[in-house]
Amino acid sequence: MVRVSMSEPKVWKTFVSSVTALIEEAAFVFSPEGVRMKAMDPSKISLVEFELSPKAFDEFNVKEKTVVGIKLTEFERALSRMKSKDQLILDVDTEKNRLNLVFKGASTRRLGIPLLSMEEEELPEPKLSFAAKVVVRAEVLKDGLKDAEMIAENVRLSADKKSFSLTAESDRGSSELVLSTGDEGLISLEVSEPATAIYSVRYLKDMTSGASASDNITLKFSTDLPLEIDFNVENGKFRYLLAPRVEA
Amino acid sequence: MELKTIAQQAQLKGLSIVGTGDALHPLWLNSIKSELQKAGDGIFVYPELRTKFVLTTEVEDKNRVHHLILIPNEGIAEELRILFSKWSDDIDQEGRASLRLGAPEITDMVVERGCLIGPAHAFTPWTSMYKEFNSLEECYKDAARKVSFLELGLSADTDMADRIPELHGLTFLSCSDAHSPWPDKLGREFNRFEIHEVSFSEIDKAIRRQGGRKISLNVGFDPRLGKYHRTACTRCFKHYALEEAQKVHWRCTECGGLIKKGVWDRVNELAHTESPIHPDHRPPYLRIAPLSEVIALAIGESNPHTPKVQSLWETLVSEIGDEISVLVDADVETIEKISERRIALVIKAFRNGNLEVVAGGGGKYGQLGLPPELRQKLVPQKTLLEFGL
Repeated sequence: MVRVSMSEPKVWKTFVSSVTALIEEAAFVFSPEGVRMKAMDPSKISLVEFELSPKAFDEFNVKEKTVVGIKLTEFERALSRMKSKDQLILDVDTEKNRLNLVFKGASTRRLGIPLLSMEEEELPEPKLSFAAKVVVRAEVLKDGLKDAEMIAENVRLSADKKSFSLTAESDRGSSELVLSTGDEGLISLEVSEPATAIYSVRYLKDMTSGASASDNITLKFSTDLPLEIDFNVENGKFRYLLAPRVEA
Repeated sequence: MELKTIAQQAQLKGLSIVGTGDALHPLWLNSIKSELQKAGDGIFVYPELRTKFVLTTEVEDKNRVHHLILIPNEGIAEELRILFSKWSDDIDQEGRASLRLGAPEITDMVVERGCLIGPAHAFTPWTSMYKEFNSLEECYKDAARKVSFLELGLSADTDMADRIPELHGLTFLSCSDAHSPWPDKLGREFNRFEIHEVSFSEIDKAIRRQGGRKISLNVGFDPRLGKYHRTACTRCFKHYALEEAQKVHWRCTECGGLIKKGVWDRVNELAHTESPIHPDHRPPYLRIAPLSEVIALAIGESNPHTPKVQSLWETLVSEIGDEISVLVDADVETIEKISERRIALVIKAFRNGNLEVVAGGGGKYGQLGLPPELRQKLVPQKTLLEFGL
């Protein structure tokens, strides 16, 4: 049996909308320890991982591990019907093979979407050692990505012991975000050797969309290797891996 | 601009003969006479460099129409300068003198002295023949038959100009006047001459198509890259359809700036046919773009003058010989070996006509762009599987 409720379901809604751009279907694993989801997008460019502890819920009634397969576009559409002050209840109806979304506010409304038959994906962890670990304020990173999006499809992340930069260059112009040690937007910078790599702006924007302006985002990367993005939300955490683009 | 720099850059570019420009300006003419050596009939050369020069100038007539003049020798240049001084207040100051004379008078005076004359950048909206007149005869009147060529300008090519029947008898020159020696400016358009030797009289014969001499190839911009190709605002560069521009009385609805008629629309007004009708003597027109812009595009830089772009340009040109060979002839694999794979890919796409072009207008040059599939090829997306996932 799975029945959970949240009086502040924003984190759930934000997560679903941010990963819908990356993956089509997701297997949410509900267990007494919380909810988790880990998936790779169909093109194998990115990996998404999400965890939420039972504390994020007002009611968390999960007796045993249950895999809930959902088509994310349908989940997102259903969640969009929720009012801002509604309480969200997720209720898995195994008999009818549905996930029921109950919106409790001025009224009680119920929307049922079909469950997909899915197994929890076993995904090995790539052995990556990162030369740079950068913690930045989310709003600063998001601004840099918005600037870059105007210029190019790709953005170059670079870090050395003194600064971190995010630059884009194309025939349409150039953009640059530079954070040096001591800058308010740069929370910490650990660099064992200078690193630089190119990543898709679109993926980065989607991956960071779940973070609030004041959240801190951790970026870990090495030259021409995948990027890891982590950030915590209340009682939960997001983690992404993104493969680089490498100049021909 | 210095003669030595022009000579050096022209050599790298693969140009054999360059027009001096501004040959009526006293200081420039003095530099030509003192720094260059005579190298035969009407031809000069910079010592120790291969580039040859022929005397050329533009003049502006009383209707603000520009004419290009090729001058047989420095004596005639001096003579013309003294003659035109009577009708010009700025001949000693400006490289391109303004004359209080009409096109017919200028033409008579220069042709009488053995010069060649034709309308410069003939279709552009500020100072060209077709901005002012609807025909060659309207502009040059009885002297029209003495006009021996028409300079197409950056925003037009042979296909566009040959839609106008009155131009079928004229030789087209694909030239550009450079105001800086950067490789994307100097010789960005040029003509290939079939002549027996480098001399003014041979150039004269080729332009008049006499004795088997001729221009065998026009090489010029894709006209969409020219800065007056489409009708557009001269302040914010917003493009307009001709009817739209007429409706708003040539004032931009966005910023109030002046809208200028593009060469494309002007040619459409003058054209008698939808497609060009090329006379038998018309040589092929090869569409090119500056190599430094192609390199900048390939390596994702917005400015073709950066040290990185210039360094790659120099490497390619010095290894292969000259810019045009890199752009047009050299083996793509050789280009890749000398420079980078992404540059080879973009040059290949350029040769196959697979680059995107955003047309220029209102004074802003057109821009080359990468189609999405090529963009992907230049910076290929890796997958996580390649990293052990």
